[in-house]
Amino acid sequence: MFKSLIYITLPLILSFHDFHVTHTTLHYNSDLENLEITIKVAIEDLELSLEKKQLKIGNLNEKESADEIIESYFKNHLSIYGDNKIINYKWVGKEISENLHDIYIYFEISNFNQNKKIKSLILENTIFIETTDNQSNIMLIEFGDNDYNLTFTKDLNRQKILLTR
Amino acid sequence: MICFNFGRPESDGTYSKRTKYGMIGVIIHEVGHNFFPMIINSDERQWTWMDEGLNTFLQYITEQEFERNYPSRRGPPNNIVEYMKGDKSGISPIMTNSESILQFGNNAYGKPATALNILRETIMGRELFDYSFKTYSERWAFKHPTPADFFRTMEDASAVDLDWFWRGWFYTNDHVDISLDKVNWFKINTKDPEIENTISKKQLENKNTYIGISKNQSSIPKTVTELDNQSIDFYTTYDPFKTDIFDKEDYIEYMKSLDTDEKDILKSDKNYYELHFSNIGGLVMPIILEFTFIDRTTEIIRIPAEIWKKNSKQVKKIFILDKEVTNVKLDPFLETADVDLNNNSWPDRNEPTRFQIFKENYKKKENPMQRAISAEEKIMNK
Repeated sequence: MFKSLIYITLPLILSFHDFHVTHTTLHYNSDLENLEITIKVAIEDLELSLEKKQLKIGNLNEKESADEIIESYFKNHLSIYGDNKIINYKWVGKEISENLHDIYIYFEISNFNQNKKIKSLILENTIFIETTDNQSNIMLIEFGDNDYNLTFTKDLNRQKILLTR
Repeated sequence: MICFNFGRPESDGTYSKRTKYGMIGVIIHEVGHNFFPMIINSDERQWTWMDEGLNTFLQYITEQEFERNYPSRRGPPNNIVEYMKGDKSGISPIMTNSESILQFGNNAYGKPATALNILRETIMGRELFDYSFKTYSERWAFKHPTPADFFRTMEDASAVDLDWFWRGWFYTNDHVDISLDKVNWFKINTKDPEIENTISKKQLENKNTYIGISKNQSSIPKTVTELDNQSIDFYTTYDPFKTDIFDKEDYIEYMKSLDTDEKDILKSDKNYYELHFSNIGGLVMPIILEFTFIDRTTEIIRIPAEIWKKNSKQVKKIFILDKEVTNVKLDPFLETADVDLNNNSWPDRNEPTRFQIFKENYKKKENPMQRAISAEEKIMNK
């Protein structure tokens, strides 16, 4: 009786910060005509997803190829399509947050949509969904007048937005 | 509630800064749960924020007492901006039953901790806040408080009306975005002909002039009236800005109609600035302003949130200042979680994005411990 009671209560206990949320901001810089991609994830979650790679981000012995491993992970888990054609983005860098909990990963698309031909964007976001069931990935899209705030989950990992400028 | 498994050294015995502060932070947090909710016994299944939010707030306070500039994760207002901005489909109010919360960490930990921090630092002040928070804790120790008990105690112990704050921060998913829309500058007309006529004359001289007129200044050495005295009449030499006896009499009459206070205002030569604000985000907040003057000195002026009482969308306020203003900045100390800093300055000022700052300063960074070790090695090898 006692044992089964413990078994029932355990899954209810909330751990300290097991909330699996990532934030991605797509910000269109109209002066430079580039798309700034800023991804904020918990270092803990990133290391968990790439556990076999033993990244040790920010540690003394951070893996030398950590940048490439992170880059390829995100390219496989965050895709941007302009009118059904994939748009490549390039690595800018990574930076640990002031509170040391998160890492910011920066990518960039130069000359984004210069001729304003693209009518719609399809976003595919599967960051960490293979590691945690309750993963949610939030994307803020800032195109001046057109702002979106989308949440991606395991069941909803592909969303379309219209660009009307 | 109390469950953690964080903080391991590397196999070589070193550990990162993140491990250190993360581990101290989690221990502080879990010890805090002895009080919230174990002693001040709220129901976490109903209202997670009542223990996790309050405890995260106390964790922040404790971390800052542990070490100056402790890298706290939750507490400072600018850390919650990312969560609160944007459209609201993914954000539920804090006052949502725990089973229905979207984004648990931000909703039940981060946002209430930030809200309490804003109350303590900006709205109530530390003395009032701490007294009321302690009153809540003592009053509800070994009892079962609900949100209303917390809201009520914070108000009756401090005698501060916080209804508007609970309503905005706890019952809605609005965010803070106050915009400084317009700044108008006025000076008082002294009606003294000697002073005002000089100003009017100067304004006329400073006015833009048609290019032909300024070219004529040099290309026509002498006009007819300048050459020929016969062509001069009253209007040739008439100066509309010259004061005569009637102007002076009018002025004396006018001064007689004023009382001493009014005369003082007239003589004071103050600058009157009318500032227009609009509330884009929905949450009303105190207005904190930094004025920079022409001599580069600055002054901070704080207006309580009650300024929004009659109109929560738009307000204007007049500031009477000795010196001429060159810049105005809204929320200069980042204490209100304003999500858009691009509408907080006069003249307009665009704040760079995090991405832009990073790209500007980017260099391959080694971590501080790596740098310290290689610096030591360098000294040893010398």
